[in-house]
Amino acid sequence: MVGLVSSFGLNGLEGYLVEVEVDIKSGLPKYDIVGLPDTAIKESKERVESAIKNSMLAFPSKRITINLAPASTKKEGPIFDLAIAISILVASEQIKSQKYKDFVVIGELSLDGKIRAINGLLPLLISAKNSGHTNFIIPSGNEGEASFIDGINVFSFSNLLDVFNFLNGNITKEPIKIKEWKPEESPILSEDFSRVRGQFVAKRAMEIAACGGHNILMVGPPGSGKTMLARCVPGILPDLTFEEALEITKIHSVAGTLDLNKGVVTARPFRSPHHTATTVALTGGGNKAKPGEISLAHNGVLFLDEMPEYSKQSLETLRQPLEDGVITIARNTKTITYPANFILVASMNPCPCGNYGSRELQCSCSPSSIHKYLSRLSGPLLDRIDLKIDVDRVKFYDLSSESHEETSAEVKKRVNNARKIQLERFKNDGIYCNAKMTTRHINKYCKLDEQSKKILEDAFDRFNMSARGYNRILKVARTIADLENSENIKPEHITEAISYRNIEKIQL
Amino acid sequence: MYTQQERNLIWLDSLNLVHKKRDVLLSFLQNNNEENYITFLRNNITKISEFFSAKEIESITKTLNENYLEKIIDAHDNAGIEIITKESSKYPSLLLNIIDAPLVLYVKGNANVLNKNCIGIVGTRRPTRYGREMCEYFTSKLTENGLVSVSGLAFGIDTVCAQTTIGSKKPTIAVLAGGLDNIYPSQNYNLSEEIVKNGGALVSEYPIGIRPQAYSFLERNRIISGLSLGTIVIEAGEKSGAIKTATDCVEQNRELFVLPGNINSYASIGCNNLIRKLPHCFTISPQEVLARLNLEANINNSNSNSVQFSMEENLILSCLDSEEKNLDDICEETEISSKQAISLLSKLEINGIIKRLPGNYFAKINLPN
Repeated sequence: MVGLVSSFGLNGLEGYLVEVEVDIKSGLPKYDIVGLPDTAIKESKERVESAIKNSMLAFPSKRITINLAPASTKKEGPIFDLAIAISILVASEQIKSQKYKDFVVIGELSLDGKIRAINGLLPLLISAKNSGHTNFIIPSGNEGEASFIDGINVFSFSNLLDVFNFLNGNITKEPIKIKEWKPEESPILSEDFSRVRGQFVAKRAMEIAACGGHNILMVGPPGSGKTMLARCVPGILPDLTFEEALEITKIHSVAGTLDLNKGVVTARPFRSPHHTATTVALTGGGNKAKPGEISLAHNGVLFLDEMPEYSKQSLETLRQPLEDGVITIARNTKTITYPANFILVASMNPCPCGNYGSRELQCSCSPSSIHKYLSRLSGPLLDRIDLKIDVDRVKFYDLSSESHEETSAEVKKRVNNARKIQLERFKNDGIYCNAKMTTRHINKYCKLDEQSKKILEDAFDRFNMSARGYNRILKVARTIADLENSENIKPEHITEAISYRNIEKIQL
Repeated sequence: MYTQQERNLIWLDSLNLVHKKRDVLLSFLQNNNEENYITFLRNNITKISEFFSAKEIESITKTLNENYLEKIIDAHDNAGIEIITKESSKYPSLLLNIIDAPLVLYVKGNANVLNKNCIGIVGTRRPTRYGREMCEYFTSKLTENGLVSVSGLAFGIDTVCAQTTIGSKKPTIAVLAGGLDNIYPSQNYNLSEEIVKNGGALVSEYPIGIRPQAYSFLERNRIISGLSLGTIVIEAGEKSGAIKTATDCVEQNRELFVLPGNINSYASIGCNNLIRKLPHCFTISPQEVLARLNLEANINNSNSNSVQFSMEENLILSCLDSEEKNLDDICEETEISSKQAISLLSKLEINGIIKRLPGNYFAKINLPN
């Protein structure tokens, strides 16, 4: 007798149909899994056997062969446990109803017959839904993720016996209810702008960065509040849309970093990997080609504190994702493309000792050591960072003043409005924010009047700017104009944009 | 291409002997009125054995063939380096007058500038903003008046001096402490190319292949002051190469100009000490420099103030009159909104009226009148 149950496997963020076939023949008891299983699947033999026995069901003591089709694809993880168990129960004719054929079965078993939550359910469900499957049996621990996808019937169970009874028609169960998704008002991780005293330039630059999706680099001595400023950014990013939330959730679901109680993420991610992180930890990869920090920061912020301390190789690998918004990881068994569309927020000291240009302290670095330190950031990388600002230590009277500082919510309102303008402008261009403009878009949307052109020319002469700097300034000026709800870029927008370019001026 | 006399000197210089021994050998050979040092020594090596150790004699013997000399001359030709010996008419006449003038100069670029009126501009490798500004100011004013700036291509003042001169499309001279194939610091390689492109020259007393040594930096300072009518010390720390250049300058009987600095500034201790010892070198303007060099001064200090400022711009400028301030202070004093102030300050910066400093500080560019 052969049992055949549908399940889904995961390759990167894409799911694929896996048919779990079980054949039970007479002969000496033997129990085998074929179809390129990894170790976790091979071990599922033991889990499935114990789970069936401990659910007061019979485990056939015959010759059992399990095949995971398609046999040519390498399969990973314990997510087929439940499907194997059901398939055995079907093959041994303990499940008599044909109802199981309508379902895609996903779940991991524990020895006592409980069903455990799995990683990566959301991308599985979405792929399965897109390929026409409508009925699902999933672990109750994953209910959160499933409850935001409409158009499918998802049944969640906490143990094997319930599934057995359900498929045999002994009990009835309602599919889980669709929940309404709401973005979080104030992300928990985020600091509030009102708690940052002074630092007007930095706050303004953060606002521009958040609004136009520009990358930003802060240069300042230790203790000038760079990290705190960076932590404010998630709080002023434009509201998360449901589509964006799903994209983020998919990645975090695969990586196993999802909060299962919430199901779908409600806030933009803020990732701050330490500078000792390996290149693979940043970009993703490893044997199983897992998503890295840059993908986990998708639609959110990647914060690199003390940027020159990261290894040169790690920093250079950021160049392609910063340009394309995706990272493609090729490993021997597979090639996977993960989205990696993030705002890069980076900070650094102006020199190894941190005091270069300081008013209070003497810099003890030699010119060549400063040169070496700064040259760790390559030109092409700096080219992809639109805003470069100075952050100075806040003076005491600023800290103690009672003056009113704008809250993140107020800033966010402006950012949201300006982002709407950008979405409207770019609706036919396949981009969504000013930072992503190419030369073609810049020519189309960043027209300058005579006065602005003159200012830009003067600035080029005065500061010896490069041609690359030109586009950067126009993009930032476009965002500043959007924040003011101005149709055209005005001279004051250009002059402001020109002022966010500090590191190009550090001289030796 | 080179006369026999010149070839003799190039050969002698290539031995890279200690100057004392080199001079002994030279005077010995000159006293003998020898035509060709190489052929003479090949036959009479024993005659000089009293001056040198056996090891030295051995290494000198190895160089005693025309091939060796041809190779050296070819190598310099290929690198675009001109060899100017003391015998050459191109040898800078001012440098000829100093004690211990180099036998041979290796020059890349326009060798004619060496004979023009030169002014040495030296200072610390870690200048303050004041030092930078004064270096820019003095360099641009003096080069406008036809002087050729001479510096050492080091970081700091030397770099500012070379950059400023190149910026105003005037020739400048950089004296290096090693062979011209060893640009030090390597970060200034591009600057060295710019100098050559702009009609200036790179000069060294060492043939190619010689790396700069700690002592050679001090020795090249005598060439900087030796090439120049006078030398300006912009900023110098307590122990500084610039002080050595100033000492050389005085020993060579050239004019020394020293700019005073703040008494609490690390980069002014050396300058202020010099002024205390040699009060006459106190200098505060390029006119003074030109007057003491008996050159005609044509200095135009008008700040080309044809730009009309708006009311807000004037407010900001008057608030920056006394000292440099940061953005928050400027906004507080002028009651201009921060957003507007960023834009206005940037505009003033583009117009060259103010300067942006690290930490969002701004300062008016005040030049002495």
